[in-house]
Amino acid sequence: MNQEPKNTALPEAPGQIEQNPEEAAIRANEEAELRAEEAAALAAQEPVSLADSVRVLSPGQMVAKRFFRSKLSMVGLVTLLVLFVFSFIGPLFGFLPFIWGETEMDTSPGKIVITEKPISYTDPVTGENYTAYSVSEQQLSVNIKGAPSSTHLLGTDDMTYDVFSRLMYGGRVSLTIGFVVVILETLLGVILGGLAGYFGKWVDQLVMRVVDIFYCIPTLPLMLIISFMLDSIGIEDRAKLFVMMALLTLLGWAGTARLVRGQILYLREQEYMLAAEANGLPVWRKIFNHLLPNVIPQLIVTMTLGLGSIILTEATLGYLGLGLPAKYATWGNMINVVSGQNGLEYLKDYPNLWVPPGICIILAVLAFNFIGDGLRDAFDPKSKR
Amino acid sequence: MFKYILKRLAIAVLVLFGVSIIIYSLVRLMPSDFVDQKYQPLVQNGQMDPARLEELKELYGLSDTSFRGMVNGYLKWAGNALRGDLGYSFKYESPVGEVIFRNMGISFIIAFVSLILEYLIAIPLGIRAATNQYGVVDYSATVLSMIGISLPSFFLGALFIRFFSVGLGWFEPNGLMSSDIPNNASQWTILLNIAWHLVLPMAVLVILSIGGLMRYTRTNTLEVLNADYIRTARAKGVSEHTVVYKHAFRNTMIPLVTMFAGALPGLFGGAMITEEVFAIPGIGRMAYQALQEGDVPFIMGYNMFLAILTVIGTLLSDIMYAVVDPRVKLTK
Repeated sequence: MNQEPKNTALPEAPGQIEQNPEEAAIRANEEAELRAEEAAALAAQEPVSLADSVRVLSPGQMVAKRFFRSKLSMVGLVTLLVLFVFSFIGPLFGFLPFIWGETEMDTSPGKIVITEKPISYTDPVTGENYTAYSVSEQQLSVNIKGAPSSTHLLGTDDMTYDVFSRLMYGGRVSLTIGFVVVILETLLGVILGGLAGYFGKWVDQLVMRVVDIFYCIPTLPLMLIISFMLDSIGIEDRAKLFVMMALLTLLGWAGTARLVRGQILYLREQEYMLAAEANGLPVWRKIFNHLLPNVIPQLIVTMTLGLGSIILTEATLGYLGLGLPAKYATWGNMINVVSGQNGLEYLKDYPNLWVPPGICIILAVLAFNFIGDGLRDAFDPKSKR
Repeated sequence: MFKYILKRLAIAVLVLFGVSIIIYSLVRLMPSDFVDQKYQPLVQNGQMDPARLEELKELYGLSDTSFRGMVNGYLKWAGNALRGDLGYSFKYESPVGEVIFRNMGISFIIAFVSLILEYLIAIPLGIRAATNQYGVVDYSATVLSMIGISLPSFFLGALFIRFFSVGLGWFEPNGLMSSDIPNNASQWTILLNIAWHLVLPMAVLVILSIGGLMRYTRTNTLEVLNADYIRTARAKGVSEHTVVYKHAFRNTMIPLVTMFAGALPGLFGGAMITEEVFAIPGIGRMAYQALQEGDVPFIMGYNMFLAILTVIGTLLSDIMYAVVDPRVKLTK
């Protein structure tokens, strides 16, 4: 009963080889060559020790390898580099015709505005109603809201400032705020979280209650209150930038502190810490050489992801008109035009004023998110890729 | 568990005290107060006596800006708040609690519908992404969700208004109701009109927060799919569909349920920026305007409302965690 399938299967196998004997011959040849090569290679490698033939990767190299292999993180890294060059090096090319200063006005005559004014009158004889239009042409004395051209790649805004160049200055503000705040936040978070985690007891209680309080304060309303306050005190200009950085730090460190504390609580109980204790290492060495290096991977990931959200917060404040004063270019400030009195007009007729800064914000935040995500995957010891 | 909840509640009271002190001192430190903003122009025009201005400030409890005056003001506010009286809003001219509850409705509807939509879209998408790890679905979902997280709400709102309202004319750019609706319109017309106005703000909210939820579902599902009992289920021949949607899904739900509890502040607190962009008269926009004018009782009331919601949300999500997952024990 079982023989039938066998019978059909058997003649097929030799049949296949018979069909193209040339190919089979070539294959046999190739295999023989390969074997010879392998043997030669083995013979050459014979004196080399195992350590040389196996590539050893340090954990750091492994992370770097995984990170650079992920396409998304590379996209993020390249985007970020481009943004950096654009905003920090771009303005240095002031000699180019389309690069202007941050508040450099274009006093060349602007576009011609045609206004139609309807005049209605009633014919005294026939009693019919007529509407006449008085059409007047007027050339603006300065280049207000100019269309994109070769000297203004993205046109000019209502103050005759060049939009393209202001994008660069805006990038400086956003990226600087992002980096400064994240670094300060991390420092504060590591110190307080580390103290709480390492010493425990009442230190932990105290720090964690403060963290709880800052966790419960609604960030945006508080930032708004403070921005209003700064505006009415009259802190303007660049000084406001520093105050804003300080505030963003003050509102953002709680998350980092919580993370560091949790990690240190866990690491403190590990065997290697017991060994460190038994060796009689001083406290500072235990903290800085043995505990903190193990928190750094998570810290880097949260820092990168945090950068994106700080840039978003700063842009939101700018959009609400509560960030830096309007004459300073920030991406948020530039979008602010759509929220004003003539917002709909800007929305409809001047997308060149508010779409580019929006795209810049998205690109910057997205780049940080991509990099942060890539780093998280790369640092993950369970990751197989 | 009961003891745990009691302890957490005690801490919460402490935390809320801290929050209220910080916010109160900040609001009172604002140099130009509500009375100044409202009546200063009148005084300058000579229509109002400066002495009357001081009288008004006295009436509003804003006259004493010394440290002692502020402490007294805070104690008075805190005493009333403990008795459930949040004070009287300067700007909206009615009790704060009443204003908050009256305007919470529309914010709640927007947030609730968006939340449901988010869960309905994000969870299946996250599971699909996890089952096709590193596949096309996974990559595109990841990239799209990242873009969603990175979008500034005001910019997305502006883009939507530009395309759908100004460009295509499908929606009105702002407001809650069309101005040309007749007074005697039926309930249904009004309701439909309002719903139509809420489409864009809801779309903004959904797009902004879908990414995080999707990524979360994906990570969790991946973790669960690597568990031993999933291998057992596959080994005994359970179909892949049942493995993913029955065995794995139930355990994926654990963190999602706790997230649902954590969404509490967003659900009732309103979306300040989105409401402002679309001029929806929800609680977020009202708070924003109150902030601009230095309406101390309303700002205090609103912020405390948010803080209480946050505290309850965190507590609820911790408790939910223990309820859903019997392996978790609440101790300490």
